[in-house]
Amino acid sequence: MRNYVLKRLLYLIPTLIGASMLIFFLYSLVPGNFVDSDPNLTTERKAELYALYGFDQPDIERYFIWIGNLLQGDLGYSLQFQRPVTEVLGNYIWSSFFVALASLILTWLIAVIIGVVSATKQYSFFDSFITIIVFAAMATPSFFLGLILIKFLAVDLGWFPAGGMITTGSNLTGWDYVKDVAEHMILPVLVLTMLGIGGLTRYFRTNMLEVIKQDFVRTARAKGLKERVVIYKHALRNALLPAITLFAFELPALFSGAIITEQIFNWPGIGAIYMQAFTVRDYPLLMGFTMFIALLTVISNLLADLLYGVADPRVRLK
Amino acid sequence: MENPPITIASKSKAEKRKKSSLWGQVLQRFLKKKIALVGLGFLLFIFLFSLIGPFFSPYATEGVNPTQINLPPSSEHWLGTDKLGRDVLTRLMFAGRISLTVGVGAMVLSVTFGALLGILAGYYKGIIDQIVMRIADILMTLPSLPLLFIMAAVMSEWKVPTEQRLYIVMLMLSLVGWPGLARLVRSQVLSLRERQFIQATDALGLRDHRKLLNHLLPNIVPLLIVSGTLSIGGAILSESVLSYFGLGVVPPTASWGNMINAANSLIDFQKRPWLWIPPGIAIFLTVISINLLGDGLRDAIDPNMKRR
Amino acid sequence: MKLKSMTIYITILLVSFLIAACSDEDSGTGNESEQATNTETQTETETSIVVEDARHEATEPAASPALAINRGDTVVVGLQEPGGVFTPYFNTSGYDGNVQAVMFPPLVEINEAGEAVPGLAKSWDISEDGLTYTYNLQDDLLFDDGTPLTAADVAFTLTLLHDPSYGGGTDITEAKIVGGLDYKNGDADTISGINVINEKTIEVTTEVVNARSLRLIGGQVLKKDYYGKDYQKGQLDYLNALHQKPVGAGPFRFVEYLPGQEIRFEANEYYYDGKPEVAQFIYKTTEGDSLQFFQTGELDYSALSANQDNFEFLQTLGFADINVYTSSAYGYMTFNHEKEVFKDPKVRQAFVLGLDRQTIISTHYQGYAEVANIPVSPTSWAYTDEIGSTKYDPEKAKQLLEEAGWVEGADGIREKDGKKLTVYYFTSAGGLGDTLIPIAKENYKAIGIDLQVEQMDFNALLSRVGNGDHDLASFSTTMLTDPYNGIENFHSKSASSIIKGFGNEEIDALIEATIATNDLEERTNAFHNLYKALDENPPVILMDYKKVLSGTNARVDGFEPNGYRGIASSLKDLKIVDVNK
Repeated sequence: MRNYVLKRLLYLIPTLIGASMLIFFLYSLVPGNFVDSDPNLTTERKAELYALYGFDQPDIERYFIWIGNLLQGDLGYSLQFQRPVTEVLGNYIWSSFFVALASLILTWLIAVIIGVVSATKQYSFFDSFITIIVFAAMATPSFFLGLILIKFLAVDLGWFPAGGMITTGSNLTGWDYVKDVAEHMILPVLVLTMLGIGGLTRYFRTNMLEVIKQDFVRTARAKGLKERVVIYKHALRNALLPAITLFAFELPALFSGAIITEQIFNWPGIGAIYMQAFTVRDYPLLMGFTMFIALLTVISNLLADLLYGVADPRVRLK
Repeated sequence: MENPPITIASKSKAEKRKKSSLWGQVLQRFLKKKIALVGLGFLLFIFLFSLIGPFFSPYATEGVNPTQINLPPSSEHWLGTDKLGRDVLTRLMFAGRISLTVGVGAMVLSVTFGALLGILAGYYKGIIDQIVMRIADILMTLPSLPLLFIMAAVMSEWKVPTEQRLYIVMLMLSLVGWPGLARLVRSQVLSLRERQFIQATDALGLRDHRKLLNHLLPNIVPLLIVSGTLSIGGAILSESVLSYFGLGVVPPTASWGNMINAANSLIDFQKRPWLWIPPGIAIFLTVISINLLGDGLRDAIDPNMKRR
Repeated sequence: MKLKSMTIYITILLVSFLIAACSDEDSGTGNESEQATNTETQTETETSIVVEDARHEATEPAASPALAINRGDTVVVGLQEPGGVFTPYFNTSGYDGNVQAVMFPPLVEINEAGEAVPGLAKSWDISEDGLTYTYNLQDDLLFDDGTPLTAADVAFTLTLLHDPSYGGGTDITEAKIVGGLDYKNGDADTISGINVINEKTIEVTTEVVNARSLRLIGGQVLKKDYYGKDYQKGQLDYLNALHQKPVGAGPFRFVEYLPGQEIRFEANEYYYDGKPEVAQFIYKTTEGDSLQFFQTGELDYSALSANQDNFEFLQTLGFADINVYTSSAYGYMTFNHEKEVFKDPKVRQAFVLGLDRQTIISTHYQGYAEVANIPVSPTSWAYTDEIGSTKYDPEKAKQLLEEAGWVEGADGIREKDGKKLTVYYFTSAGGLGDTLIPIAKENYKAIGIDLQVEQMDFNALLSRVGNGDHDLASFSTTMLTDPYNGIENFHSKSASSIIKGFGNEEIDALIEATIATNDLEERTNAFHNLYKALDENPPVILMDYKKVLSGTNARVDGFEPNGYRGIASSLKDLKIVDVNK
């Protein structure tokens, strides 16, 4: 087991190096840079600024400078914010995290419930109905869903704030602050949940259907256990176990921010900032953020594999 | 096939026809899936609507008419007109051609890349497997939306005639789509390799390309059909997201994605629902149909699931 | 302290609102009959109907949402996310400029006619030779921390901008202050042309007459004891720590920056013109459609892209005071002058005449913009409707193309020396392009030009135009505080990456003449001479003069937006009124 983990950790290194190269050189192919975004600069001034930011160096050299700093934990200096990238990420990432976390919890709760119910009542009206709803949620473009919710629920009905994280100009503290933020979170969380719920519900349903047909469930039934006990104690547990690995895959999504949803709801998260950084070509911020997500993805993949081994001892780790 | 008698019936029929037995079974099972048939039926309708529909329309798609701006639906313009006086129904049909082309094109490209590389990786293992799978891994570490932004910006450098811009969109979507598919195919091939009939081809001394083409590929086709079908829906949705960010098909070419963008304006949203409801419904129903169809195909094709 | 930087700040204010509202820019517009109430036929072009600049009082102030009323004496305005650098001259994001404008008034302000008016400087004198500027500061000027603002602070600011390690976007050297370059590039310790006469008077000597120097030098003021405490020549890194703790002398004082949410200010009791009545001012970060925030009462003021739809939207709300005014910017389509095709002025003229600008502009803006005839907005003193034209004349265009040697090929597309007349047009997504592209394609096809379109994001657009990949590309100028800003890029020595390779000695001389004097009448004549020459030899296809539409919640009084400064100069006069009276 320990050898396996070590081996997998070693495997991460080439993947991460590859990812860093891909990230750096892809961004360097993108037309435009931070200095160019001001068309009023004189040629001399432009040259001065190029030298100041190091844009005049060859790409290869800049890559090694960047990767060198990265290894020391330095993600660079955001051109647009004129502050270290880590600080900028720190400023915005937590608001993304809370929305993602809330919608993650909600998604799993709903998905498990729906999955179990529709699996135990396969081909019932409820099952078909849920299938249609789930497919519907999967068939709506995310921005469209967000726009519709804002315009009906926030603007027309006035039930929820139309965007932002707190009531503008408010100086709330403690509980009131939490309540205020929670109120602003409802719509974005709702959108993210609706978008995410489809795949997961289908997954649980299939899993449950498989488990129910297995011998140990039949045995449990034969023993005369109540159907409720059979479903929730025996079947659900076994259907959930492999799903735990899926949880690990969600890790990067918790921090990566939802670009479209955050933009539509004016949520001060990292996704919205990413978009903005892209329009002004704040490469250090863009690259730092993408690299951070790549790292999280790689780690969560590893975590998922390890958890899988724990959840299902039949899988032998070599 | 929930109840045994049907299974037996299909088996006995299958025995009569020799070669098409597998596909015959699949077809039979598929025909039992009513909901998937509804999906298929609707897709056919949308295809015909987009393909043939424009021939019956008296309006040209790009015909700008400043005197007929923003008219609500009427007997002349069944779905009204847009801010340039163009007939929304006609545009919806032309947009359907584009959106479906992008969806199918992106699917074909990513299935081709994915299947080819997945088979190579799974069959030859070793160094080829390492290279292909590392590249796939690396691509999969990058979040897809930023990757699309980057590609859109990079590919804007290529001078592509306006009308051919949709091929760029296809290419972008397939570059994001292939790694997942390659991974899926590879694991399938790895498990097939261990099966007896492939071991037998080794014993027979068949050449690699024959083994790959005649024996491995047919066994992967079901997987490809299912994931390919489902990915068309994904590509249509992605195109609409790209259009939302102004990175999709270039106007005046219409796509459902850039038509639905009218919902982005509060005023069009409130005052002119005929601008965004039709493309919204078109995307919605098309993607649902594709997913239902894909689901039905999966159930019909995948014998493993039936055995359990 | 340079006009250009001022222009940027001011521009940004408008642009930010345009951007904030630009998602509706592509929304359709109402029927022409609906605008009858507030339109008037313009005499110059008989087909165009252009809305007049006007104010419309709220019809139903009491309809103002409770959310807004309950906010009391806090006023909220929308802004795109700033970069967080609130020290003037050091920001890279334009939106930081809006934030700075609240706290840092310039010495010399600009009014709605584009004329210089007193700001922190009560008055100024320009010597007879036009080289020496003397600024007299207002009485009892204080920074918002209560300490006095003196001529020494002005001198410090000007010196700082000449520092060799200064990395911001302001190029003060354009004012050519005597001794400036010795400080920047040499080892001089002070700038000889800057002379502090007494606490309230500063004299600055320049080397050449430049009509723009007055406001270039008379810009925003940085507090010497604060921003210059650790100053050593060539070392400016210490300033980074102060970027989010600004000390200014404006009507409001900086309180707090909540990234991604809002920037808060409070009334400054030390402000020379009196403490504002409004206790708190807030810039709220908004992205995309700001209409909904105005409707729900989250924003007290919102500038929208001007069209009939948005006007009606504000009108139906009832609680909006509506203001329609003309922007000082103009929109244009640039030629790539480095391409052989566009070397011939006749071809460029044909491109101008062959495009039905009137239809494009009236379809898209429905009366809230007019076709441009010269490169300056009608708000400016340099404007005249006697030069240039807004005609659509495809026959003349065809004739000009024939004369230039482009003859029709087999497929209807013109050819010359075996090369087809195919041109690539670059534009950013959304906005006018959505209307322009289909019409322009048709127009140009009719005269034998094949137009290909590419859309990209703005930064890619700038970069690709900078590389010369384009044939045509759409842009809009920033707010033009001086008409010179509208034409400086046409100079053959201009560093602009958008208009490269245009111009000749004759045009250069005409351009230089427009700033070679401080006399307004002489300058006006110089501009008119230049506009005539440019009409014969068009550097760009002039597109539009846009209107700006703004809505103010009736509970707030005092917003006086203008085409040069946006709302910045009216913030001090804001008042809360009772909507039920």
